[in-house]
Amino acid sequence: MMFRLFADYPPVNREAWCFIMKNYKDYNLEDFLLDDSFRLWITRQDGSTSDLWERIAREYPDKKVIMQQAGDLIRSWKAHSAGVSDSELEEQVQRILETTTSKQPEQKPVTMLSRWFAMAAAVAVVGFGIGWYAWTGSPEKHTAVAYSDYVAKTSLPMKEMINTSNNIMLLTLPEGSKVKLHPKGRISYPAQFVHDKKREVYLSGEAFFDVVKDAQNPFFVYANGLVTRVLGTSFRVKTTSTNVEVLVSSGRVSVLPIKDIDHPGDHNAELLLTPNQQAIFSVKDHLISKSITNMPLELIKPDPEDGFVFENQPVSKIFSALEKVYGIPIIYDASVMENCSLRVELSHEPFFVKLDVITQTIGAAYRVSDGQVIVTSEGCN
Amino acid sequence: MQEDLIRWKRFKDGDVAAFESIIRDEFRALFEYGTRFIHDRDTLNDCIYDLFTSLWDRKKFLADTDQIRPYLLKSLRNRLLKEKERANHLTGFDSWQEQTEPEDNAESRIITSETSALRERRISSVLGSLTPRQREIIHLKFFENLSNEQISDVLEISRPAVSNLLSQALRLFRDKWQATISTLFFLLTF
Repeated sequence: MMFRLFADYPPVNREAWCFIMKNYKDYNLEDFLLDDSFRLWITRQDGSTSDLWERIAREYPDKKVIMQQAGDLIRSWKAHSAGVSDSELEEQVQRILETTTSKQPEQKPVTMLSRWFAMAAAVAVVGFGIGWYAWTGSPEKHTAVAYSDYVAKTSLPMKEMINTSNNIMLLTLPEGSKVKLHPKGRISYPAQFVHDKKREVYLSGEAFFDVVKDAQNPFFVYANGLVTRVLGTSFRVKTTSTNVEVLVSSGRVSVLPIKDIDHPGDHNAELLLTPNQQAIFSVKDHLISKSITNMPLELIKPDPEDGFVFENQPVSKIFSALEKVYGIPIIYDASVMENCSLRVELSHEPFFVKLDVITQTIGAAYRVSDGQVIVTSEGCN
Repeated sequence: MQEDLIRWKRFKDGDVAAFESIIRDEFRALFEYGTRFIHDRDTLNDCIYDLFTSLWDRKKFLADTDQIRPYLLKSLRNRLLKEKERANHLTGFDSWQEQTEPEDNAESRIITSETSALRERRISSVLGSLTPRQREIIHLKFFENLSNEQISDVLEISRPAVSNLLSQALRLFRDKWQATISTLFFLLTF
C-alpha cells in the first residue's frame, strides 16, 4: 500500500511524506483550522502545498469531509469581509496624508503665563524636597523598636546567634523549634527559653520558623516593631529597615505592632494570617497590610488526580477548587458571572498563572486586596 | 521581521513614503478587524484616521517594532475599546447576523455556486453563536493568520490564555457545526 503510494507520487521525499501521513491521519476539524499551511492553501494565498493537501484528501477519504468543512468555515469567515474598495482606500489614505504630512509641526509659542507656571512648579519641587529631607532626616527616632534595643532592654540572660556565613544557618531552639537563619541574620532568645508561658525570639534580618506546637506557651517573634504570635506553625519573617514581611506556610499566625502589645484587649490592630497570605508591616507608620505571597503553594492536592481539568464548567466551580487548594479566598459577583463557563486544562502552573488563564479566557480581571483575590467581570453571554 | 523593522524606523524618521506604504498595506486589515467591533463605516474610518495621525504626531516617541500589523491591530483595538467606553454607539460583535449580507465579491460567488444557500446560512449561524471574544480570536487566527504569540500581544493576554481561548472557541465551533449537520440530516429525512 505504502509502496504503491510512492510509486504514484514519486517527487515527494520519503521521510517527509511518512511524517506528514502520520500527522494528518489523526487530524480533526480543529487541527485543520489551526494549520497555517492549510488555511493559506484554502484562501489561495499559497498554492505550493496544493499537491500535498489534495494527496491527503485522496489517501484519507474519511478526512475529505472534515477538510471540506474546515475549508468552508475559513472561506465563509473571510467572505464576511467588509470589503474596502480601491477608491475608498485611496480616499482614506489621502485624508490621512493631508493632515499629517502637509503641515509642519506646530511650534507652540511660550507665553508669559506658561513661563510663570514653569517657575512655580520649580519652586514647588524644591520646597517639597526640603520637607521630605526633614521628615526622613532623623531616623534614630524610628529605631526605638529596633533589634538591639529590645535585646538590651530585656533583663533575662540572652543567647544570640549571628549568621556571618553566606549560607542559610539551621538552628534548633531549646524547645525543638527549627529556625533557618539567612546570611546576616541575627536572632536572640532568653537562655531560659520558655518563661512566663511564653517563647520569645528577637530577629533582625530574615528567617524561616518551623514552630513546635505548644498551645500553653505561645511563640513570639519580635522584629522591627512587629510582633508575630503563633501556637505552632511554619512561617517566614523578613526584616528590612523599612518593612517587616511575614509569610505563612502552614497553620495560623497573628501579627500586631509591638506598640500595641500592652493593650491586649484591643484586638483591632491584630491581624490573622492563614497559609499563602503575607503581612507587610511598615516600620515608619506602624501599619500592617495583608496580601498574598508571590508564589502561593498548593496546600492540598487538587481533587482529580490529573490536576485542574474542567470541561465546560461554571467558573464558580473552578474558583472554589482554586480556593480549596490554595486556601486563598476568591471574591466575585456570582450573579453577574452566572453564565460564565469555560473549558480549561491546568496542572502545575503557579497560582497567578492559573488565575490569568481563567480570567483572560472569560474576559474578566482580578486584583489582590487584603489577602483575597477580587475578580471583576461584566458577565458572559 | 527585518523588513518591518526597517520600514518602521524610516517612518519614525519622518519618511513620508514609508508612512504612506504602511497606511496602504495595513488599512484594509485594520478595517476588517475594526468591523468586528463597530459597524458604522464612517466612525471606523475616523478611528483609523485618528490612529494614523496620532502615530505620525508621536512618531519620535514610538518604540521600535518588527511586527507592524500586530502592533497596529493592538493600537486600533485599544482605541476602539476606549471609544466604546466613551460613547455607546459601538454595537459589538453581537449583531453579527444583522450585518448586511457580504458584498457580491468573487469569493462569495464561488461559495454560492459550490454549495447551497442553505450551507452558507448554516455556517453563518455557527459563526453567529460564538461569543464576541471567541470571534475576535478566530478573526486574528483565520483572517490575519497571526501566531499565538502575536495574538497574545494584540489582545494583551498571556500565551496559555490564547491557546486555551482558541481551543475553547474551536471546540464550540465543532460542536455547533455537528449539531447543525444533524438537524440538517433530520430535516432531509422528512
